[in-house]
Amino acid sequence: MNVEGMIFADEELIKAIERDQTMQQVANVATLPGLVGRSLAMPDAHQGYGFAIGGVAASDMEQGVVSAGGVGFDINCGVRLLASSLTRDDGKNKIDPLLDRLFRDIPCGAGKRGMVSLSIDELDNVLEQGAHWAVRQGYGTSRDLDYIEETGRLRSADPSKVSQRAKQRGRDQLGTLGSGNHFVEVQYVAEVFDEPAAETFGLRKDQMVVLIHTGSRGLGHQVCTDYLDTMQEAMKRYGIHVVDRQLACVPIRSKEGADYLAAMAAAANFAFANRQVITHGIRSAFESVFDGGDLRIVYDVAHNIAKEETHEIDGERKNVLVHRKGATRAFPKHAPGLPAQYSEVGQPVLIPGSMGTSSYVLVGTEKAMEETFGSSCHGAGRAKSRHAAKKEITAEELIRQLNEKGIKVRGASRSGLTEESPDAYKDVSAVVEVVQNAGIARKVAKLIPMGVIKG
Amino acid sequence: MQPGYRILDHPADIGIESWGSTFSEALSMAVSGLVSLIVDPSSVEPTEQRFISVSAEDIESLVVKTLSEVLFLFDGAHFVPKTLEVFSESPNGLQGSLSGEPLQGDKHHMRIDVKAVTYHQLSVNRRPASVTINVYLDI
Repeated sequence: MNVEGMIFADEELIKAIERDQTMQQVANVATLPGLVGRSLAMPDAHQGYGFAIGGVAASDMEQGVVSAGGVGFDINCGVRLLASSLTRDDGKNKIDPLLDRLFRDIPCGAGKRGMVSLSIDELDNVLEQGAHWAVRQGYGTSRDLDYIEETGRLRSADPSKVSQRAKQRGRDQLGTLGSGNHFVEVQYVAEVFDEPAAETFGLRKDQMVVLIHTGSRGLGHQVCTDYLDTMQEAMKRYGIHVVDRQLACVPIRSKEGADYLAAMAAAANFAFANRQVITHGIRSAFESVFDGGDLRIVYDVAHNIAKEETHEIDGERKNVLVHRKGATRAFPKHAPGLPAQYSEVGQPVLIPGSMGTSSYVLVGTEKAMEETFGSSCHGAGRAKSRHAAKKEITAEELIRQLNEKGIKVRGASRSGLTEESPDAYKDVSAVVEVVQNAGIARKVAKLIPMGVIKG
Repeated sequence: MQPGYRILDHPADIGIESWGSTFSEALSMAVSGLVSLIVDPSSVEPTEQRFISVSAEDIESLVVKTLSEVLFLFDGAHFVPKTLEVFSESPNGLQGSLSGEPLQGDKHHMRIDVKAVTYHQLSVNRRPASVTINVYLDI
């Protein structure tokens, strides 16, 4: 190991972490060349591929490496929170027609085509401009862009670094949710922990909100697949050896490194545009069911990404590439790049829970800048395998249990539903408590689901 | 040896173990395993072929790239492969054809979206009379 490893957890969560290969993977990441600080794992960490899910690692921009596996296959998988002008009471009698409409209009599950099919030329504009492209096409307003990480557009994107195969995989998937743990959830604000921060974010008790969790779809998956291959081959030329092939990496300042980062940014832009188009679909559904609802973006964060940032390491300010593989940026007040309105409070950190449990809005802290390169957890984190989850509950029983809790479900696949059963995940509240106690983010509000659509 | 596959448990995702008397057989079974995760195979008829030509630096990479062809055809060409027939193979390349049919929403019973094929714990075990492949997928 070139640097130390560090895992954030409590006594219960560490037991779950010890059951799989998370620790080994944190140690493996620590062997990458040019790493600075520590190889980190957030409290929701679980075994992934190469990097643990919930892993954070920063490499020196000049001497360090970039790893495609350190970002993962679902580039810019992320979360967006929309706040409505409606209350829980306004919504509770109309949740069924709302979910029906959402399920009809937002394609989810395997093999579904999106609301927009793009020519390759037009797709290049999406890859270059991200959410800005979507807004220009009428999917939202320019105000939306101020409330997205990087305004929904990474300027380093270069569509020419994305393969034709990746483009072909993504060209008719814009505006689709995908499957796995991706969802659109209608929720209400159940509890406010930090009134001033909640007020700044435009959140209040009993307010109806919508959380979107999805990423860059087949396009991003193919970009990662392509560059894993490129990196494995190039690594030999750079004399880099890794302990796990999935950790394949190249120097940031190499042609392959620059190409990957430009392609990754393009895929990230696709994901920002995807969440923007889905937002449009959700707004249309609210328009038709509630005659409005004024859905405003609270924030949109990426939790699978690599970003060039400046951090203080051993008293020295350094430019580093922060890999966040299942971890959320958690910048404090006055940090660069925050929406002007949030600059006195900090960046909203959106933590989706597992289906049927709670989700959280946190805010970034100075401590996160000092300890975790401005990063925090990204969700509940899996505790059981898909197979184990499926064995324990049938889709019918799961839907009944959720209904009993007042949560309506629309799912494209029955097996997909049971694999994502809430029992398959760690307790999101426990994860959030660790983050809060460690000081790497602070609780602002707790959200409880009313209805969910899943792939 | 009767070729076959089984689905493996993984803390976050899913793996496939497949076997056969030859590498080609085991790989074809891995393709069948992958297909069975994405779609109910009994709803797919092998009415059309798509030829594939894959080159790779080693046999593990050949597994990843061949299975990735299935994902590409599915997302990128709306074609649902069902079975793989290998015409020729070496550790560095493979020619073959995937039989299946164009994706039809009402006919094919979709299961889950497989994002990618990984190198995590990937292994190709060659014994004198059999080959076993272990491969994990990102869901």
